[in-house]
Amino acid sequence: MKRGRLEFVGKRVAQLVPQLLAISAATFLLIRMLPGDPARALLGPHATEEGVTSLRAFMGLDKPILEQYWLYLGRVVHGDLGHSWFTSQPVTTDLLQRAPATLELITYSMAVALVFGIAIGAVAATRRRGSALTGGIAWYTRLAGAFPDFWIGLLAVFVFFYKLHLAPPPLGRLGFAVSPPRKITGFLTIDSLVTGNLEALTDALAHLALPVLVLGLIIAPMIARVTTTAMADVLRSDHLRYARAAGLKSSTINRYLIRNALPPVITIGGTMFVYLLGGAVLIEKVFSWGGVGQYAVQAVGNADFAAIQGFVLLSATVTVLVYLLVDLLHMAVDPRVRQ
Amino acid sequence: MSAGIALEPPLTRSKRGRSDVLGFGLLLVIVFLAVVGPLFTSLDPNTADPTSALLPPSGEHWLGTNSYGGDVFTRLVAAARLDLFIGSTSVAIAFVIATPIGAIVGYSRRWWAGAVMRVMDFIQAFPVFIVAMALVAVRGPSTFNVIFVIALLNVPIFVRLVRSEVLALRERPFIEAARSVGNSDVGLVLHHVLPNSLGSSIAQASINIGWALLLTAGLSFVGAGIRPPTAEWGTMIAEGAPNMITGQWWISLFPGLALGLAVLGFALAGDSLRAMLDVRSRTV
Repeated sequence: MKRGRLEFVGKRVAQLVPQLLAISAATFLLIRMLPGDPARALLGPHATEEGVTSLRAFMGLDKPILEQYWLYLGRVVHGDLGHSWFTSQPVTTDLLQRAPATLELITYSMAVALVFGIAIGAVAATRRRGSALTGGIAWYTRLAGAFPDFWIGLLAVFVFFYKLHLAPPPLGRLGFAVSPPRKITGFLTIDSLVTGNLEALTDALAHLALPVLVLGLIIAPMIARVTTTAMADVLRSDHLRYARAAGLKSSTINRYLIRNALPPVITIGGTMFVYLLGGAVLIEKVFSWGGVGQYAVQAVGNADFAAIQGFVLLSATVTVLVYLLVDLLHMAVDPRVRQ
Repeated sequence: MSAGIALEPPLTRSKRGRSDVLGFGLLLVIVFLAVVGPLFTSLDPNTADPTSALLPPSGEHWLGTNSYGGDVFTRLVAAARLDLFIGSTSVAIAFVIATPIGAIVGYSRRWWAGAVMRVMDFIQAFPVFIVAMALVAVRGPSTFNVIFVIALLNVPIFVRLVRSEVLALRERPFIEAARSVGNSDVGLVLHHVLPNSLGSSIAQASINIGWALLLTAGLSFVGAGIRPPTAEWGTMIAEGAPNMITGQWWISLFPGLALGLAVLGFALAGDSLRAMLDVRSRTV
């Protein structure tokens, strides 16, 4: 058993190598798809002739394409994602500076979606098909899937900021008058809690509320649906009926239920996390969040191609890592996966 | 815009009728608006009129005006035309490209058929919006590039669908019979397998048009799609975004509402089509 588990982890982690190579090849080709001279495009509108010439030589644009890719791969492995002409900083620095903001937004949204989605999904599993609750969830799913999240975000700003004055203006993660906590993790909520900066903590939470609720509540119905199906399957299964017939404690039965319904919920959780990476781009624009999503939007507007390339590489890498985590969690809760 | 999958669970049979009417009804209204809408307005969707900027909805401007005095209703109708065009062409292109690939990959028993699917799996694993945004940004924002990129992202969805239909069909007795009377592989696929697999593709196409509308609007919203002042639902929402903080809600509200209702219509119609066209679920 122990060996099976180790083997599974080893095999699964080894898959990262071809996956990451494929991602780097794709981001390399992305820049090659630029019409015209990629070196000139990367340097932006203020490019000098000497600059273009030296970047061409640095990227090896006169060499065969495979050699160019090899050079690119070498730079990426060393953490060099090129320079943003717009911020005039290395793209890696820009991304690392902004990543915690996005990660904080996505993490809390995911938490809201999981708590709310699993709760209503679990209740729906105990009702019969076609009840008012399952019908309501079906319509909730439909509407959440049909209306654009960024538009819902804008409506939320109008209602809760402009009309009701309950939310702060959608201009970043902290009010201008609030002094930010010392940077430890980059999560404002955690950093302000650790440093005892209560003013920053409440302000950060107030700024998080709207974007997190919008993203979380849009994702929640998908999680609810999977939870309902998974739990209904387990509830009907022979082993659970046997457990009940054998007169086991209800807490034991509930433990069986949760444990057996968990794998599909973990899978959808991973898929939704990846979806949030894309959704965050749009929501960050609405709330001027200042994370990597807004950075990418800015890069698109400025034709800042090194920044776009770096952002795609980062989000694709996070994607394969999330799926790795999903598979490992899957293995931890479902012993059948190891075989 | 979660993915190119059905947005909702299938309804029970008793509720079918109502959602059929709602889905096709919504589509009818949107198409009607796109076709005859321009008759209701004498204004041009792209003219600026600073003297009548930011007016709330009224008898003169049904849905109000935006920050440079453009009439929201006129722009909404013009946008409906453009968006429906982008959504349907991109999905149609994907459909035409993906169907033969799906048929070949599903029918063939060679090793590369599986390899093609692994590649599709890998591509589909990534956040669609980010991939689309990067591709359009690199190729330059234009209607053509938006259609091209959305078509490209739709291809794996249809390949997967057609493949699974073909896989299920190729073992069926009537295909066996058609083979045993001497049909060639190509003839079999063209005359027997594909026509029988079309139903679910058509239903999926409807759902995916809705998804393409959302993607187009999202791309335009971040500046990687249709450029303002061209009227498109996403650019219209973006135009009104700064005004949401100052209380002029009508500029963003109406295009988003139109977009959401259109997506809902395509999704419901797709569900209805699936129920109608799926031969296997039909009781004999």
